[in-house]
Order: sequence, then structure tokens, then C-alpha cells
Amino acid sequence: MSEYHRIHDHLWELPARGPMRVPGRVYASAELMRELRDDPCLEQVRNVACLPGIVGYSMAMPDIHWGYGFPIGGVAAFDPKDAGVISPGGVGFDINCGVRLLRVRGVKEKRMRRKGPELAQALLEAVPAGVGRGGALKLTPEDLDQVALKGAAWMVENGFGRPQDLDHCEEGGQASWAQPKNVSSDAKKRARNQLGTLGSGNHFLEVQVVDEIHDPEGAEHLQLEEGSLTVLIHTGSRGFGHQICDDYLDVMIRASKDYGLELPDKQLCAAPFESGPGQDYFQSMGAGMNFAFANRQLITHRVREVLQEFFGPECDADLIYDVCHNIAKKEEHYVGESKKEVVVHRKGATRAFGPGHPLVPPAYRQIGQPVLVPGDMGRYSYLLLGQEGAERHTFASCCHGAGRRLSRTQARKRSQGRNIQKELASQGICLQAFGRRTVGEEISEAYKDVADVVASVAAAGLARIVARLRPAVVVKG
Amino acid sequence: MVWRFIDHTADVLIEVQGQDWPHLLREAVDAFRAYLTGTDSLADEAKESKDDRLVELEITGEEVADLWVRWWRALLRLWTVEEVYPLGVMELSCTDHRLQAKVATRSLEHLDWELCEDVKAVTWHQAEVQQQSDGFWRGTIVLDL
Repeated sequence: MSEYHRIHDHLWELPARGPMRVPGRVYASAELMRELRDDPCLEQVRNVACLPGIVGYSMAMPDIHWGYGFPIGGVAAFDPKDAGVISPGGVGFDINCGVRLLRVRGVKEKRMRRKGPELAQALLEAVPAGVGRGGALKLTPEDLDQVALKGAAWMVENGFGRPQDLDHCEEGGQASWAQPKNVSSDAKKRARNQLGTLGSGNHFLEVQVVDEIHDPEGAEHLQLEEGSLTVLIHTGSRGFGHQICDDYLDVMIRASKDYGLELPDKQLCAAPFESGPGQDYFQSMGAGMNFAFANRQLITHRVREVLQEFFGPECDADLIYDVCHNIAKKEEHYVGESKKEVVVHRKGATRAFGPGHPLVPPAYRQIGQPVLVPGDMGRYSYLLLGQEGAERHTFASCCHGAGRRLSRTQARKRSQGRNIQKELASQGICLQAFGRRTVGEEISEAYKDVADVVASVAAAGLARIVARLRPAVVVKG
Repeated sequence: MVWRFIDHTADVLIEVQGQDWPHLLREAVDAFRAYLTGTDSLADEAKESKDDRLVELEITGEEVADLWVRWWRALLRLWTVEEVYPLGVMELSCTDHRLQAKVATRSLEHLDWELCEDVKAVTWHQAEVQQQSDGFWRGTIVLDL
């Protein structure tokens, strides 16, 4: 059992002990914390606290669960001027896995629901999902390098989106430090037909209905009201990012030895950010980030095409925001009372700048950065806005999802003998999935209730809840 | 069958047994194929396909567990990069630090994709190889799904 004490109702501290350089901090309600009590993910929070150059706290969001090296839901920042490290284990295999939310106009809920099954089928055809399903866009190696350099901008330049889409993406949809030159040929081969695809597992595309407004002012600013339709896209850098991570684990295991890092877990391998291996990984990870931005941009374009095909030219979808939840970036943050440039790792955590922050797009600067928190396919997702509390206490970070409660096998066992598609249909949710396994693995019971997760971050002052979004059409791999 | 798939949070731990180190490596190939393709044996598939081909693998590692992880990574690379899956090991020579193998492979075009699992990566977590008191070798590997 991990030793911790209460700071306030939604914050718990794991005191520094042994090789820990800083304490750990977990944002969670007492109830969520009770569930975590014996979970090995708390030990992972402690392990991260042992890495060189860590500043502040090794943190975790309420959707924390066990991951490789760093926990999922983990946030940690390192001072590059004090031998601070960068670690692929702090980003994860799916580099820039993330979420984007579109606001749909020109069609009402009733009309959309009448065409639910056909719409779901058309979306699955336009946006391939599932194991082994490639996209229609085949790129030359030169084009792929350009995608890795430019991200979503490459898609917009090539007719798959609008310039204003880029304004509503974290980093403008482009990691400017990306360099594809250190990305392996294996990663490039793996990516060859994966742009515009969802993949499998917990990735999805949903048409949703806004069913609860929690913050009328925020909702009005975002032009959302009860009954509004949205589309939520959750996917990442596919095989391109997976391979970059895999390749650099090897590099970092060697680098950890070269730099004499004592690691409590091999998957925490790392290198000083300013070192050769550190910079090579940072630049290659940037290439992975850009692939993911481009992927979500192409999917957005396909979704717009399908919506117009179904509901006519008056139907359109505007990008509200695109956020990353598996990344490491150089950002300026409070460390104590002063600000400094740190390398912040968010693994299963979302950036959450508050109102007035210069990196929030002008359209949202008054209200704060949109934070997108997907739940599960049978319940709901949430739209939040970042708050100053996140800037002050969590390196401007917030939760990223519900967090898994059951393993895939346990979930499949629970779903045996049930017709999940029918169950969802009885709740007004039309599911179209490529693989039989995925449906069983992704049942609602497999996840924590995301409402509990967002309630915790809101209570802790990291974000404010704007709206709840209920799935109406779900497409999964 | 000398392997089993063990529940592991959101992923899978595969445990393999072999009479000796080379046998463990050979059994890993069958376990890998069974997990990814959703079929335990090759019985349902054509005995031969005209596009079957032999792939030569040469891998080095610092010690047995390191070599074990790298063997699995090479198998996954066949799947994700070469777009083939392994049918079996035709030739194998190995020490604790180095292995050379000729692996028979078949194109992914022959698969029923609905049965297949997506694997992001082979991880170092709980990657172990041990010779047990009964003389058998046991290896474990966790795949990130």
C-alpha cells in the first residue's frame, strides 16, 4: 500500500522518500483515491519523482492508471538547465494520441438520428478503423517527410481542411521542432497507408449531442446549446508514433547507462534533454506529433464530406479544438512562484491553459483553452475549459479521459452473451465497429465514470465544466 | 500448446515454455502468431501459399532476457513493417547473446482481420527468461495493445 496524505479534498501527496527528488501529488476525490490505494500506478508516480531534473511534483490526474514506466494520467516537468531529462516512457507509444471536437451546424438531432445506422456505416467507410485497415491516401516518402515536418498544415495545404482549422489546434497543429531525419525507415514504412485511419482499441469517432450545459457563458462563447451536435475524434500517430517510441526506447536504454541514470524501471529510460539522444528523440517525437495532427485533420475532412453527403451543403463542421494527451514539450510554467522553461511530459493528460494565456487561440483567450475529455461509448464525454489553477499547480495540465477500470479480458468476459450493439441502441446510440473483440473490450463498465474524473479536476480548480456530450453514433475499430 | 495469454491491465502478458532456450524461442513464434491472428494452429490454413517466403533474422543482446525481447520485437517487425506473419522457425542457432534464424512467413493478405489483434509494441516490462527447477525454460513478455 502506498503511503500518502490529504492536502485537500481533491489532492493527495506521496511524501518524498528514498531516491525521490520531489514528492508525488495525485488529483482525485477521496473515493477515486480509495480505488487507487493498492494500485501499482502510485508506485509509478514515485518512480517518476526519482528522475533527474524533475521540478515541483511528480503528478497524476484522477484518471491515473498503470502504464509503461510513467503512469497514464501522469504529468512531470524537468528543468533542461539542470540536467532535466526527456523520456519516451513519459509520452507513451502512441505519440500525440489526442482528441478533436467539431461543432456541427446545418442539421438537427432528430434528422441526424433518423439516418443513424447509414451515417455510422458511411463514417466507418470514410474513416477506416480496425486492425489492418489502411486509408486511401498513399504518400510518397517525400510527402511523408513533409507531413512529419508540417503536421495538420500539410493537410490544409493539400486541400484537406481550412486554414482556420490550424488556429484551433494545440501548437497550431504543427510541432515546429520536428525533424523526420532521425525517424527510422521502419517507422516510415509502418505509416505508409495509415493517414486518415482511426486504428483500434479505445480510439473512436462519435457524433454526439450536447445534453447538459454546466457553464452557459462558456457554452455560448463556444456556440453550443442543449441539443447541439458535435463530432469527437480520438486517435493518434498510429504505427508511425509506435515505431518512433519503440526505436527510441532502445536509444534511451543505452543513453541511461551512458549518463549513469539509476532507473527504478527500465521503461523510464531517459536522457538529458539537451543531450544528443535527448534532442534526437525530441525532434523525432515532434515528427510523430505532426503525423497525429495530420491524421486527425484528414479524418476531419472526411467527416465533413460525409456530413455534406448526408445532410446537404448547408451542413458543416467547425473545429472547436484539437488537444494532445501524449506528449513532451518545452513550455514556460510556474515552478514555485517564478516562471521557467521546462520540459513537461503529459502522458494521458491534457494541456489546460487558463483565460488570458497567450498560447490560447484568440477566439478562446477570454474563456480559457478548451479541454476535451472523452468518456466511454455508452455514457458521455465532457468539454471543459482550462483554469488558472492548472497553470499555478499542474504545469497547466488536466485529465484526459475516464481511465480503464477493467482489463480487456475482464471486459470481454463481462460482455459475453450480451448484445452490446442492441444494448447501446436501446439508449439511442448507434454503434458501428469493425472488430468483434473491440466492442466487448470497450463496454462502459470497463471504464471509470468520466463524470467523477471531471468533477475532481473542476473541484481542484484545474478546469471548469462547460458541457456534457452524449454519443449518438459511435464508430470504432 | 506451451504458451498462455495472461490478463494484464489493458494489455496482454504471454507466457511461453520450452524444453530448452532454442525451443523457447521456437514456441514464441507460435504464441505470437496465435495471439495476433486469433488462431491456435495452422490447421485451418492452406499448407502452403505461393507467396510464402523465408526471412533471415540475426539478433544480438546483452543477455538472455534482452535477446528474448529483441526476438519478439523482430517478430512484431515482420508483422508491422514487412506485412507478413511467421509460420515457424526453419533453422535456428543461438547462444545467450546472439541468435540467427530462418523464419517461414506468409503475407498478411491471408488473414481474417476481424480476428486479429493490434499490437503497438513489445515492452520490456516483466520480460523474463528463467530455467525452472524441472529443467524447462519459461519466458514472459508483455505486449502493448
